[in-house]
Amino acid sequence: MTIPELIQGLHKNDMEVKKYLFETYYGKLLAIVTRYSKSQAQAAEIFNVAFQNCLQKLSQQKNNQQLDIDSFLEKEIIKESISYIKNIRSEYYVASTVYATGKDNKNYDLFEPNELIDYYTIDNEVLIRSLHQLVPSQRLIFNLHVIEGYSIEESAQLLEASEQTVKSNLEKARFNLQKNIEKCLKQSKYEQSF
Amino acid sequence: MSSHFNYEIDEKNLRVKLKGMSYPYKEDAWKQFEAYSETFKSSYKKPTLPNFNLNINRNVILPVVFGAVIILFSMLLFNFVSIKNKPGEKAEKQKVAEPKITPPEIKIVPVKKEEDKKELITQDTATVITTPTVAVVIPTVQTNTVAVVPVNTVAATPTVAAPIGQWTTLEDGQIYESPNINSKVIGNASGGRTFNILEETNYFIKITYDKSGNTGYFRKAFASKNGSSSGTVSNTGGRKKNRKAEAMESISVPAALPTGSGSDEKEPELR
Repeated sequence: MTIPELIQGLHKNDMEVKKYLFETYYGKLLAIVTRYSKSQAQAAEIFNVAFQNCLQKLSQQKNNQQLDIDSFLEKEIIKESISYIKNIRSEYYVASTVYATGKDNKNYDLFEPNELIDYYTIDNEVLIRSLHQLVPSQRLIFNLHVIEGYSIEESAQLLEASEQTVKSNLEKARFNLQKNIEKCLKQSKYEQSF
Repeated sequence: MSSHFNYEIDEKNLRVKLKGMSYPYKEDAWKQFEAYSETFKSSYKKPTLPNFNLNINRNVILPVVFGAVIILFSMLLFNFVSIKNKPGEKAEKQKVAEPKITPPEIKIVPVKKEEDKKELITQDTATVITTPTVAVVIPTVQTNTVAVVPVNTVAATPTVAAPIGQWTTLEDGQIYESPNINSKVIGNASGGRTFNILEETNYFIKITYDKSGNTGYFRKAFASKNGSSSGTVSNTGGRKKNRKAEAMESISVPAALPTGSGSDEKEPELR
């Protein structure tokens, strides 16, 4: 299907067109939404809402042959995910005031000194689980800056926060993510031992 | 957070891993989405107005709002406090500053006809005034031929206005051109003569001293008003004061007059 046909089909609310787009972009877009959400269930919920809004915005686009639907849908789904999570005021507000709780020891001694973590071999599931354990504000900024590649300024604009807030949240996100990964690995090892 | 935190996560690798993630397609997911889109259709109303997505940061909105409030209040203050004068007010001020100079109005009383003048003839008059003149204040009619030297005794020209009174000279005196003893002497009047005066000042009376209608000023000190026993200014006691006052009458510049005895006929000099 060409882009003009897709846009026209969306205009007419053609379910076949919608299904085609759903099948094509479901896996990729769901993975993006999963990174931003706190659980799989929330990811599914966010995906339906965000994808519907993305299709609506796509239908409003002019018939442009040069339109890159992949990048357009990715950007729009990220924006929709961020707005959805920010609208959950109770979660988001509390998360912004949470400080990274790290031990006050000078030495980073979460693990035993002779055990090293190979971050290259960490499973995606562990990474996703670690991300879900982050507070929403830290999770959002980590996804935007580290994974999507947005700058601090762009991230601040998207999150409607100051750059200082974004930087502090990023620092906390990195610290907490590493801690979460190590916790998850420890837990998985413990589970495997049974 | 500890300053000795060792961040060991390779973010590049992490990015590649997570961006490359994908989930397999599920039919259940499509059914869920289909159901959701149906409910969305029923609840969603198409916006009548175009949707403007202004991605404005709050760091931009707050200064703009505060600036607008400050500008609004300053404009309100400028309206209350008039700093600049309006151009119309300046012109009005200039107009007001300029004094209005109007020429003095000269009233010209029309001369009555000859027939009316017959009524103006006094008791003492024997002759009738014929030639018309423009009366300034009061017209008079000469009664007798006055022995005035060197002016010819000619019948006085008729005047229009009614005489204000008759004066009789008590002694010989000079007739002046203007009500000032320092002015030019244009004639003399002998004592015992009666005149109908044209004008009266504080110390002079204006009389017509010849038939041609020439007028002059005679000092009140040497005359008395008919009907008054002593006259207004004929007292000898007041002559001293009157002479000085007569001299001062026409002098515009104030000057200290000599306080000598008034018996001598010397005229005070103008300074």
